[in-house]
Amino acid sequence: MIEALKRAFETTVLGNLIGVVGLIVSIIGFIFTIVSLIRGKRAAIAAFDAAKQTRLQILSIDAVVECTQVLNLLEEVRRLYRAGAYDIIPDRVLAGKRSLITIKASLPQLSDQHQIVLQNAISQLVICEELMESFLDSKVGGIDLSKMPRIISSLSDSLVEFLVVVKSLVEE
Amino acid sequence: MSNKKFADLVERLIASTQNQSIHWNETSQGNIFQVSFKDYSVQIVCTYDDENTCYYRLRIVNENGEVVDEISTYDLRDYLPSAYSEMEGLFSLARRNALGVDKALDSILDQLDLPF
Repeated sequence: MIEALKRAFETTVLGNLIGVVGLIVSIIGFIFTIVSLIRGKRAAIAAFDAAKQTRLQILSIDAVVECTQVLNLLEEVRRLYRAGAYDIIPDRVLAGKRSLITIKASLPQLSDQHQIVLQNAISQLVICEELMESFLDSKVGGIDLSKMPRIISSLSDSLVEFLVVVKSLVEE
Repeated sequence: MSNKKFADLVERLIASTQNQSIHWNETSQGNIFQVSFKDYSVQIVCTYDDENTCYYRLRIVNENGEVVDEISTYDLRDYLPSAYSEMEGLFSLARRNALGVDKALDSILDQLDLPF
C-alpha cells in the first residue's frame, strides 16, 4: 500500500516537473520565434530601404547625365544664335525641354525649390520655342530675338546650381 | 467656374506680388513674364494690336510644357468688373518685380539719402 502511494507520488511529481519544463521550453521557443520574426522584418525593411536608395542613386545618375546634356544643348543654342543658324535652334530647344521634363518626372523627391527651378526652365523653353517658331514663320520680320541669349545664360546658371544638388544625391 | 478661379488667381497674384512673396521672371519675349510654382507656371502676356493697344492674357503651363489653359481680360469681365485694369496692374507689377525695379529705386533712394 505504502509502496503504491510512494510510486504514485513520484509519478505525479515527475509528471508536473516534465510539464513545467515543457512549458518553459515552449515559452523560450515562442520568444525565440518572435525575436526571429522581428529580426526578419527589420532585415526586410533594411533591404527595401537599400533597394530604394540604389534606385534613387540610379535615377540621380540619369538626371546628372540628362542635366549635363541640357547644359550642352543650351550652350549649342547660344552658339547657333551667334552663328545666325536660327532654323536649327527650335530642335535643340525642344530636346532640352524634353530632357528637363524627364528629369522632373524621375526625381519627385526633389525639394519644392528645385522643382520650381525645373518648372521655370521648362516653361522658359516653351516661350523660346514659340519665339523661334514665330521668327521662322514671320515673313515680315519684326520679331525680336535679342533677349534670348541672356535668358538662356540665366537658365544655364540655375541648372548648374541644380546639377550640384543632383550630384550630391548620387554621392549620398 | 474656371473663369471665376482665374479671377481669384489674378487677385491673389496681385496680392502676392505686392507683398513680394512670389518672384516673377523675365522671358525671351519682352511681352511675357512668368512665375513658376512646383508643377505649374503662370505667364502674363501682353499682345499689341494694330492700334498699339495691349491685350492681356494669363496662361497656365504644366510640368510637360503644355499650355493647359489661357484666359483674356474679356473672359474675366463677369467676375472682375475692372478686369482690364487689374490685368494691366498685374502685368506692370510682374514687370517691375522681374526686372528688380523696386530694388533699384530703393538702392538709388538710399544713396541719395547719404550726405555727399
